[in-house]
Amino acid sequence: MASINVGRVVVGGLVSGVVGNVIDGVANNTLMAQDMADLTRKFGMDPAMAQSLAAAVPWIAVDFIFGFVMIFTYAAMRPRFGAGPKTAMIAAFVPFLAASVVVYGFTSMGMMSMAAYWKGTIEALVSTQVAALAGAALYKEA
Amino acid sequence: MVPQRVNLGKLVAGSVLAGIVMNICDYVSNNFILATDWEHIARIRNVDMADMTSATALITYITVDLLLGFLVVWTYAAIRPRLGRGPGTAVIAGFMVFAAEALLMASYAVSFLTWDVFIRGGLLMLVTTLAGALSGAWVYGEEGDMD
Repeated sequence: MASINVGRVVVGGLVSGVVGNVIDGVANNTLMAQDMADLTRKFGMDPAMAQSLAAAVPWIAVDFIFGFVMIFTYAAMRPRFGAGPKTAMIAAFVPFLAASVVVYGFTSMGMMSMAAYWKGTIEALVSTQVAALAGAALYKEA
Repeated sequence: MVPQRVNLGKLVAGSVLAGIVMNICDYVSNNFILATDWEHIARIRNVDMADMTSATALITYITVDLLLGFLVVWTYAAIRPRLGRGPGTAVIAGFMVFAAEALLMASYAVSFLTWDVFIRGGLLMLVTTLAGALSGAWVYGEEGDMD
């Protein structure tokens, strides 16, 4: 069994991170804008701070690391499921499901409304699937 | 060589064990080690402690850990043909799931959580996820595995 092509994981992960950031950035400032404002108010945060670069940096970093995790997962799963978009979509489900169930736990603690949770989850599903497909398209075995 | 399909029976058995182990770890973490942290979060974030400790919330936490148990064992089964069977691959599968959980928590560290709660909670989450992965992978097997 050939080992994972680390160089291609890095390239695919970077592309995946860029795509994820673009989709999340657009969604959070349009479809999710009101939900984000409601969360800021509920948590008693300064709206200016919530819109600041300091608040955005963790989200941007998260999308890049998600990208690397998804492409590494894709590479690790290829011998089981084969190369191609279907395996990329399966690989994207690992971080998507792990993150979604943790947020569901937070939601049940009263962090946000169920409506906001489902809207955000559907957006995250689209974002992770598209990002994984983009990154996996660049992954090749050595 | 075409790899075997995932062994569904062993996947279910491994997932149930992983889910039980993760539930026990999380119960101890959240009700003893992090109890005062959660009270602090509830106070500063306008969250009702009754909501956090309700029967509905409890059922949610149990279900979440069972789902995470399934995810970690399924990931282990999916990457076995590439990385081989055994605890090393189980730890990698655990890290793949933990990374997503921790990253998600980190992005809420500036809003819902605080950084110190994130660090303590993240470390405990790592222990929980690895314990679930190792126990589930111990049960998971495929035809042709040599004991």
